[in-house]
Amino acid sequence: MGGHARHSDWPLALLLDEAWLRSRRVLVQGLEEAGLWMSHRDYEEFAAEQRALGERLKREILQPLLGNDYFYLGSERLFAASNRDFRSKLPLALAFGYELGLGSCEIRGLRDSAGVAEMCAVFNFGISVFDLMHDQFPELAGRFSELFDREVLRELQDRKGGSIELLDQLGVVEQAELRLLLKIIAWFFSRIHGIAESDAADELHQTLRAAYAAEVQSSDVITATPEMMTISREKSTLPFHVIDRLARIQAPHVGRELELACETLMEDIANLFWRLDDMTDIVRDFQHRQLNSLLAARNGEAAGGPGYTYQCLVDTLGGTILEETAGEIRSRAQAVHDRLGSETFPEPASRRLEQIVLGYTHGWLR
Amino acid sequence: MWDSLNDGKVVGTAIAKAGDYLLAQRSRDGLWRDFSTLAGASSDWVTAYVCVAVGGLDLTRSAVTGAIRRLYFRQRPNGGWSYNKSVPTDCDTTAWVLCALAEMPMWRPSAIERAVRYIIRHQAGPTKGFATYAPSDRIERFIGAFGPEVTVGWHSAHVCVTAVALQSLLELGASTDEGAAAERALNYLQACRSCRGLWESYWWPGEAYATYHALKALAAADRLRTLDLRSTVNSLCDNQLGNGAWSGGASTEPHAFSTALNVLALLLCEHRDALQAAARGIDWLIRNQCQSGSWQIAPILRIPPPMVEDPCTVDDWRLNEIGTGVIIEDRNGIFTTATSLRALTVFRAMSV
Repeated sequence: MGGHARHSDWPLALLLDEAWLRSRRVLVQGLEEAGLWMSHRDYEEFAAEQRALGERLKREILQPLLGNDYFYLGSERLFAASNRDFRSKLPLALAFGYELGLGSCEIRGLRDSAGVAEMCAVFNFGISVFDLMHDQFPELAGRFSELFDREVLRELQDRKGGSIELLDQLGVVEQAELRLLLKIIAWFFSRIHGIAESDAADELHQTLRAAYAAEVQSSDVITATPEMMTISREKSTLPFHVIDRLARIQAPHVGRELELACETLMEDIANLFWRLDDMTDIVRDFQHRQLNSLLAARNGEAAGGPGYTYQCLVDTLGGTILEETAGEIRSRAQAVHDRLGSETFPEPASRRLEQIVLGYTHGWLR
Repeated sequence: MWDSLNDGKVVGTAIAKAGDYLLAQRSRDGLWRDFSTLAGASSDWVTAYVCVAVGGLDLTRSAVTGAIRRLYFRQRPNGGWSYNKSVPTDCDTTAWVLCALAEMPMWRPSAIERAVRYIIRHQAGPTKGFATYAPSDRIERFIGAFGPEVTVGWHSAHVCVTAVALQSLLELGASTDEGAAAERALNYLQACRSCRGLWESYWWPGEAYATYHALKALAAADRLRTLDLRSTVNSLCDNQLGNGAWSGGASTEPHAFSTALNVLALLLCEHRDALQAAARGIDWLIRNQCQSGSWQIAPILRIPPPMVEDPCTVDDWRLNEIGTGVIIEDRNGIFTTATSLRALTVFRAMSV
């Protein structure tokens, strides 16, 4: 767990308890004060509804999409020691993507947007699989990079037949995890070609390339250089912008003002979840040496070293970075609330999207 | 068979009935209790096992959350948990509780870290497998034995304990020390695999429990990929009875506990033959579920005399009696029902 800058009898485990509790306390209390905290009872209902939605999406979309490989999703083998985590989060990853996609369409006044919402569901699930692979399974990620890289991404974007060629390679891929991800990618790009031929599509493709680059660059880095902080932010926020761009393609005739408002709203939502991710994962990221902007900010002296240090955690807890980050999250949540409460966006879509953001904010903290 | 079970409704109904049964079996304090031994019934161990088995089911979510909260407060100062309140802590119970804690948010990282360290202290002897008790647990004092040779069996490394300890370390352990400990224990586990591709257990008669959990531990370490599982699948299928069930251990009759564990082991193998055999096992489980939602119980837990290192050396096992040298039933049917429910849930999740 890295070297100790100075000796202390205070156990590391208690520092981790403090980090876990304090990060959650300041967040919950801040959101409560702002009236932006979903009550426990409401959350339980919300979570049950979202899990049911996710299970339905899994059956209706992933089953035909994955074909013979679908049954691996239920296997106790997939993703080794992360199996339980993967299986429990799967429905929520699908449901979150779906709801964000649907909400992004509906606040633009679009109806019948289930098709785009499904694409967003699969995209968000794919991103979570990609993240898991790159964060915790370097060997799988290495093999994946032999099959999928910047050039393949470009091919998929430029040519309609790219997805079929990607699927053609699956015969030689032994690992179920890789086949799942490649099938998801192929499906996603085949759908994109069905909907996207416009300037908005170019923006979507650019955002996808940037998101891919940030994902790859963020692997196994915990140093605090400004460049890495940017990568950390982009890795977390760009997928939200991909969802926004997908909705935008569906609404080419939306006025400039509304379009700008949608983009700003998504910027707030994306940054909220980026900061929330780092705040709630602070203990896990410390233990597993994953990039975390809160820890990295205090880890300058260990740049390039073996990992976060005891002292880095002491410094993080000794300062006010947790409170500042909680304040930032609260401000973003407030901004989402204010924007969606304005007349720019149609009701009830705006109210529904706010509930989705607040519900998943609550869920992130559990 | 696989296809006929795939509409999900039949399996779903069996899962709901089993879930209801388990909910009704909770004690007033929200814990599950089962098995009748000299030390009384087990609470912490059985509760943790049930929480892991039913984890993720909507029906039991709130009961599991409550039970896990209570388990947090029952951790002993040495970091471990025990069979029940009056018995010294042990590695197996602690590993099961850790696996249960993984079902929930990590409320207290220090509790998990202390438990992980407790488990690592049970890595025993040259084999580097995990033992149920370490000398610091002082089980000999609890049972009134004199001298370490009297409890040498309970202090030895066992596959059934090692497999669950590994699952907990691989899922929740974070440091390189734990990684190294796990690596050595994984080698022990692989070395203990018989030429038939199965594993023998210490605390459980038959091969089903140890085989499923050894496979699961190896899967958690991503070692199944490189293991030839054909002999395992062949042996599991050879042991299957004509009606789709498995017997095993103290009983020659088919029983749900053995059937469920064999099904779970087959599902981990992911071979076509294995899946078909698993489906036949599931069909048997559904046909033999009692109206209450539970299954017929059988003697499943073996308590060897503490000095016995190899249970095969004991000729006479007494059934459903108190003491050691016995094989006993889970008289409340909780262990059997939880295991069967787990098999049904995993099968449903893998069904297309």
